[in-house]
Amino acid sequence: MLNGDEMNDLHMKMNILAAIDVGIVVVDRTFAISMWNEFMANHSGKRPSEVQGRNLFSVAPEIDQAWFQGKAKRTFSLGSRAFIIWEQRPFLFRFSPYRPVTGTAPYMYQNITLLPLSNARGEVENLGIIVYDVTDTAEAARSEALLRRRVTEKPKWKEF
Amino acid sequence: MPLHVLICDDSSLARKQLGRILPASWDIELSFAEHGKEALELIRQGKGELTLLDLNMPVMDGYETLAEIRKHDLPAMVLVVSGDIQPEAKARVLQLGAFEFIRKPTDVATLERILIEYGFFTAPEVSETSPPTKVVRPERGSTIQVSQRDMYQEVANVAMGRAGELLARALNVFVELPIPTVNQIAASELHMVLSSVEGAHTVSAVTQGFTGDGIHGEAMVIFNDASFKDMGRLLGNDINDQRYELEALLDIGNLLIGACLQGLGEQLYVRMNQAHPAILGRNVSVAELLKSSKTRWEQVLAIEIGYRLEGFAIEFDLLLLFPSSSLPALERQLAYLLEGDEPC
Repeated sequence: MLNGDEMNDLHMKMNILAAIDVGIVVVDRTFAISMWNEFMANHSGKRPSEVQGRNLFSVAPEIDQAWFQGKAKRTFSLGSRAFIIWEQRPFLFRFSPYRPVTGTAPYMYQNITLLPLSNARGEVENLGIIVYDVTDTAEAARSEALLRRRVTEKPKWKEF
Repeated sequence: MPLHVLICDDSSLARKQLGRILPASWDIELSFAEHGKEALELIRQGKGELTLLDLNMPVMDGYETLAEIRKHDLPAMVLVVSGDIQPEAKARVLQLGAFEFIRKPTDVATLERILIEYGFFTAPEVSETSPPTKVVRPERGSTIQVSQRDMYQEVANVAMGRAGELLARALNVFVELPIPTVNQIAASELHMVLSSVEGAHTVSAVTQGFTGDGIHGEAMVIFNDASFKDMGRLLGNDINDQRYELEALLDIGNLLIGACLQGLGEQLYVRMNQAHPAILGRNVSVAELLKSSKTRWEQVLAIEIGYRLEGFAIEFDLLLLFPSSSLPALERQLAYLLEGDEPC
């Protein structure tokens, strides 16, 4: 049993996990979901109780299954973490951008970290999927690239 | 009669470390060699009855040395102690006649277990009636001077081995491991240390920042663009997909940088935090790739590792960069490695 101090400590950690503005999902080798934090719930509109135990690809059909399974398989078998950046795929989970009024992005750009999670025996049983919102970075990079192209391109007189 | 033991490794740090962890009560006469050629000479003089042999060395590497020993039937039992821990490397040396293979950095317990198993050494009996006699540990290898560069090189060597092994497992290939080069240079000269991709017409690169215990650095993977076709095929990516180059670049970056930092962290007793990778440039010349780093840090410590995959036209460079501001922390951690005890 946990004593009072340990309960308080656990409570505090759970609060931080819930409030942190980063998505946390844990799946097993069959891609059944065992953790879905508040960030994920709020952005997807799916409560943790709704997705608990369900297959990741049925909860988020937007994920390119073959591609993601390849990445996950490598993380499971090699036990090393992997990173996916928005330049590869703009997002893993299709979420609306955080700023619905002043934002210009069509969706939330995401960087993803895949973490191999090992049990007490050191075997990798679960995969942690950490989702970072990088919409502002991606938008800035895209508009800069657009600007650069406009500056370097020869003017098309026909269009005038 | 004492047993004649020979330690052959190009790294002074590795020689010193191995010398120190040999069982203290072991009755031996110890010699050292810096490469295979030197080792063969000593073996011919009978000084390498038991030889602890490294694989990646200049002048003559471990594989060639093993082949020579077998060819001339020289009096040496060979135990390979290597940073290259690919299963294929182990299979090759066992086939060449080594009796066992252990990974670097090795520890007292592992080495002692193997020495006992093969009958080179018997553990002193501890009797319960008489108090254990204190064995004075002979300071084997204590006269070996280890330069700063040698330390970096050996640490990189082990880290590179980890990365190579992971890569070999992921791609099911044999990775040819080079000897890492260590340079302290101005950031503007970085392009000069890129040996593996120097002939490349254009390159693509990702870089990833890492930090741990006051040590900041960047790990960079630079690909010869000509390698992408073979790479995509090896990784099983859909090469008709326009994104496959980027995917291959990031997949390899993930593997190499992750494993290398893990190997580095283990040796320095530091757990590193990693940022997400950033694309440094795509399909550009080497000079163009590094131009934005010119004005940054005056001096950097650059460890360059050029990988090649056997049987494929695939070349890439892994570059570990430490700004001079990180060097005091790095050297503090390296001192623990040299002393051989963990920091508390």
